[in-house]
Amino acid sequence: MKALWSVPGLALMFALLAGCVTINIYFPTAAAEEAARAIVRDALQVPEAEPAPEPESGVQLQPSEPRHTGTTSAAPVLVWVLERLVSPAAAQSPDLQIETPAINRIRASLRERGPQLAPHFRSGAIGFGNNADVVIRDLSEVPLRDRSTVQRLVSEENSDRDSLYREIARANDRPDWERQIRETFARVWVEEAPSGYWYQDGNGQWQQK
Amino acid sequence: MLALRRAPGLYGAAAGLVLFLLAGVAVAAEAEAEFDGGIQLDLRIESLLRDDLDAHGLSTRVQWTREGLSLAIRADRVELPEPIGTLQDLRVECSDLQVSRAEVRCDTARLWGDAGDLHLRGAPVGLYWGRETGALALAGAWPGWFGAQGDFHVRLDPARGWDVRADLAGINLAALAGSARLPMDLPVHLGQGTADLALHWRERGRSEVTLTVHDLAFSDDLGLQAGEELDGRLRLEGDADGWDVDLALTAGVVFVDPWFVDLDAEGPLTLDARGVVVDGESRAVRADSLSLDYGEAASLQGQGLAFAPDRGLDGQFRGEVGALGVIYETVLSPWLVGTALGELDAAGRMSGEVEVQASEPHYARVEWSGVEAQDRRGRFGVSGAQGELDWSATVPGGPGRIGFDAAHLYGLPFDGFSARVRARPQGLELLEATEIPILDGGLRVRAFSVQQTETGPDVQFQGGIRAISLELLTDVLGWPRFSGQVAGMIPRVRLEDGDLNVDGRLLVQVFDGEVVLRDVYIHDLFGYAPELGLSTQIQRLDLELVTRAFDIGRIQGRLSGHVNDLVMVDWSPVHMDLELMTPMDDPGRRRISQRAVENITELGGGLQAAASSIFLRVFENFSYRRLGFRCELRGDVCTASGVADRPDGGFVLVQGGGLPQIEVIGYNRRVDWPELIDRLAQIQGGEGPVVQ
Repeated sequence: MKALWSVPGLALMFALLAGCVTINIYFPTAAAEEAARAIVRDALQVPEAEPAPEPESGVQLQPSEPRHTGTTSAAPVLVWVLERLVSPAAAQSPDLQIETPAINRIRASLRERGPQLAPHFRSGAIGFGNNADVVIRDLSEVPLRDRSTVQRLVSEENSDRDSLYREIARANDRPDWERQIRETFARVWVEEAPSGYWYQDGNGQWQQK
Repeated sequence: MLALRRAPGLYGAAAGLVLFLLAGVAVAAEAEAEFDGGIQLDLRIESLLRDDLDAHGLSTRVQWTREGLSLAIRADRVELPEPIGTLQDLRVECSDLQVSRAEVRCDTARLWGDAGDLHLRGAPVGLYWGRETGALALAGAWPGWFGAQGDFHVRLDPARGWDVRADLAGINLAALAGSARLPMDLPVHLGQGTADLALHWRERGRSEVTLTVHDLAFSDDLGLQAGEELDGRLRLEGDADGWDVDLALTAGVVFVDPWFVDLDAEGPLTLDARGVVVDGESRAVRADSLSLDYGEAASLQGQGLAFAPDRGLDGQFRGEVGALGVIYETVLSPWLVGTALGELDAAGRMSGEVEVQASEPHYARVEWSGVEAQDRRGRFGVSGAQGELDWSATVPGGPGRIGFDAAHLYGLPFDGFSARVRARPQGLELLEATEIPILDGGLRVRAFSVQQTETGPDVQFQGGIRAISLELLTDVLGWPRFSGQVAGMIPRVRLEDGDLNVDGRLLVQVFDGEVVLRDVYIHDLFGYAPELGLSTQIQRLDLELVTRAFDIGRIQGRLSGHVNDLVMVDWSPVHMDLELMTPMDDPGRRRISQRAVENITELGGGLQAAASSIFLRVFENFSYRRLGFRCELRGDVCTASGVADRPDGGFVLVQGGGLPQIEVIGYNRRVDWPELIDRLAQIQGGEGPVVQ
């Protein structure tokens, strides 16, 4: 312990402190992802018990695998140290505020529209766009009379989603975060989508989960 | 446009084919002149080349027998321009060639040929050559191509030019659309449908085409443009000087993203255009007049129309909307989805005219009456709106007027008003001061203008509020009933990034005191959670009137203070710094009733009245020196304090004065705001707690 208080130790601590303060000024990626996941699951009405889907190309690792435990045992210690050091210095909360009347209203609206959109997601008429929106993919199978309804639902959904991303940024007093929030949501919508749903990849090509 | 470009090819092909057939007739006629008697003439030509005709292995046989003159022409291969292309094994046989001085004809000729996908197997045709007039003709029954039945007649007269007639029924449109011979690529697939065609085309003179379509279904790849069970009729009549076009869609449903039209329910869609001239090269279109009708709901007339790809559209239009509700549902609402105007129940009438130059409106006049528009979410509504506007792109328009019979904004009612206004090239201005009545007062508008600038709308407003009584106002808004009135001057209103900022101060005269509102803004007025912000200064409210209004016992005295940075989201406060205290200059008589003390105690939950219950039972009223309440509201949590802090952590809400002395002390510094409001509502008009 003595070594920690030596000059290099102090320098390291200040470096960590400075580094961590900087992290809080920048976009809180993990918190945003967590917030997005909560909102997206709520909107898609994914049961909470269901585990988060694995990354599509990722190899599934058993938690008991030795090489996995090797890294996890080190990580929490580091995180713990950082958190203890940071909490007094960085006044800004690392959380992302998503509890405001406006966001709650928008979430309710997304939740209400969810069941109406779901059959069209399943049929492939619509899919998740790569800009965190909903995009018409192929309306051919939708009865003609219902197509303008689908189009209306999609327009309303996108209008709500635009408001949602803007409001989250605003609720955190960082309107400039809207773009990153949108990018986070774009990823999370696809990750949380049930299999069979369509989504656009980075190049705008349609892929099916 | 593709069709126009390729049409000369079709024309050339038809001409080539007819020339080829008739050339044989001409050869036969010559043969008759030279070989009189039972003679057979065989003529073989290895290849024949013309502008639009390239024939190989050509042979002609003419026989003159007792039965008469017969003719047979064969060609191994004939190359004609697209869309006919290559014909194999072309054969013409005529067994009763009739030759006279005036004409050569064969009424019972038969044709054979193979063009890949289309075949002729002895199709009966009639051939004709006027020896003196030089006219050539070909007529016969349609050979069943594309499922159609009927007949055709092609005639080329040197004096009159081409004359083509066709009368076809039951054309299979899907088969026709699938044919590679169609001189254009269709943007949609045809699923089913049949058509009847009545064509009479003359090279010189007026032509007529009527195409009637039954039960047509079409769709593009993504289903964004589609139609089902469509019936329609297209009629063209005219010549190179101008065409009259009548198009009517009479039944079925059409979806052209984002619009859906049910022709069965809302009536036919008809388009009549007169004097249409299309310039094939520049792709420019002119029309003398145009008329578009959508059932009974709307109509549009155009005059002097011209469209050129490099200039855009010019013309004058007059329109009438008889049923605004239908037009709103089918045309406007798909377009307005997601905006404040996206969910309306609308009705009314509109009419107007617009002059368009180079696709930009140049002058417009519009009138509307009986317009109803109610937001389905209940945020706003207007009824009996009427008005007229005169607008020009370059100069201020003539005087117009706007008004309505009634309107509301979040339940705040506006009575009927009418005002003279003038449209400007980029906005609108009020011509004379007006007032929109609100309950017993009104919104006075001295000056108003809105101007579209590069950064958004620039709103100028100057006016004020003529005293509105608070009793009526609180009643219609469903708030606890206050007495008093609200009035004020509004020197300026700014609209920036969707935020409405009100400069100036509104004076609310209430409870014999004054509340001055300033820094009022509204963010996202029609959004999910409109945000209202303001700060107030509160001067000498009479507590006796306040307590009477809220019915929470009786307090005499005055109350002053402020509410700074009040933010209400969705009309509930989420942020404020509130301070209300007994003013120390001229505080007046200060008494508090036993019931008020009990109610304050009840209200606070954690409050404690530092007086024995004996006191409360014995005395009806107590005097106090000072009372006050401070609240820092952040979200739902109010951090409370009073007129003074106590060493034991409590805070004094009512500080006693004189005898019998009473102190009301609070201990709970973190108060749940919604719960506080709930309790206030419960206490109001309630029996009050029973003092033991």
